[in-house]
Amino acid sequence: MKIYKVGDVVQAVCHTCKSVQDAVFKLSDVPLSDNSCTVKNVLVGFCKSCNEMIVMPQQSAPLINKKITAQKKSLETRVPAHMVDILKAASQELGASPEFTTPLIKYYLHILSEQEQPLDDLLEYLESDLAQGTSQKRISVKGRFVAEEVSRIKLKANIQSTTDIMKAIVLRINNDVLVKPTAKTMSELRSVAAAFS
Amino acid sequence: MGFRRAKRQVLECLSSGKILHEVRQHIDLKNLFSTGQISLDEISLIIARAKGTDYQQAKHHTVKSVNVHILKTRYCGQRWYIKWYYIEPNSVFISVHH
Repeated sequence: MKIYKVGDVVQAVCHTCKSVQDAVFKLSDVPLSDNSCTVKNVLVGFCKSCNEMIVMPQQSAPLINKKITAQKKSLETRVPAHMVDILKAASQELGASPEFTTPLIKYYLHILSEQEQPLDDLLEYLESDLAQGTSQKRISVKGRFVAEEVSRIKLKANIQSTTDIMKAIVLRINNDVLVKPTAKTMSELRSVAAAFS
Repeated sequence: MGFRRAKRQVLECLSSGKILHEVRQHIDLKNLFSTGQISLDEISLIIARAKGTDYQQAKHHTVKSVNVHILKTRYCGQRWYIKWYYIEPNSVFISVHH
């Protein structure tokens, strides 16, 4: 890999100057496109003419990747063993591999956290017989937005425990895919499964 | 410049590490290459396997004298969109996502 130093110059297109310009490498703090955080002291090239940031060397990519990976918080919960079986059976029903269980949970975390109506039905799932049982297996979900989405669901569903949120989501998946599947929901979930496979 | 020459040129840049990424105001999270979510080897493999029918060439929308190379290709069941331009001696990647 070609390694650049602060002060080195390369040529690149500058969208402000609308021409090919010299870019001078400097260390700078650069935000991510979703404004979730800023990567500090990363080497980027600034247009010599207008001082806009226009280019980044490949050597800066690992630093950015490290920042993005650090944002992926892990959500660990222990649930009764039959809940993991439900997730695997639902994945199979959707034509996906057993590995689809994690994306399936993440999909539900996302749509439920975005839903505007209260999530009262999640509490009802927790009162069902399937919500009972000794927690013997682990469900682990990792993602940049997982923790934030769980917090939003907790507020909307009036459920305090993260484990209860996970149990309720598994039972909602059970209802949507295995107990009372509707053509619309199954079509949406199969599309998600197809995109993942 | 035809596909074969563009492909050979970008693969040489990838192999020698003469790679830059276009950035404007922020780091685009959709760009899997500039964010280090795919490696040099992976992107090289995807480009090496692409066919001429996957390739298009266009003028850079800001600087017409710069040719932009575009690949829309399938790899490992996913549709990849890769866009770059070349300014001696570097390939500057604009987009790499699926």
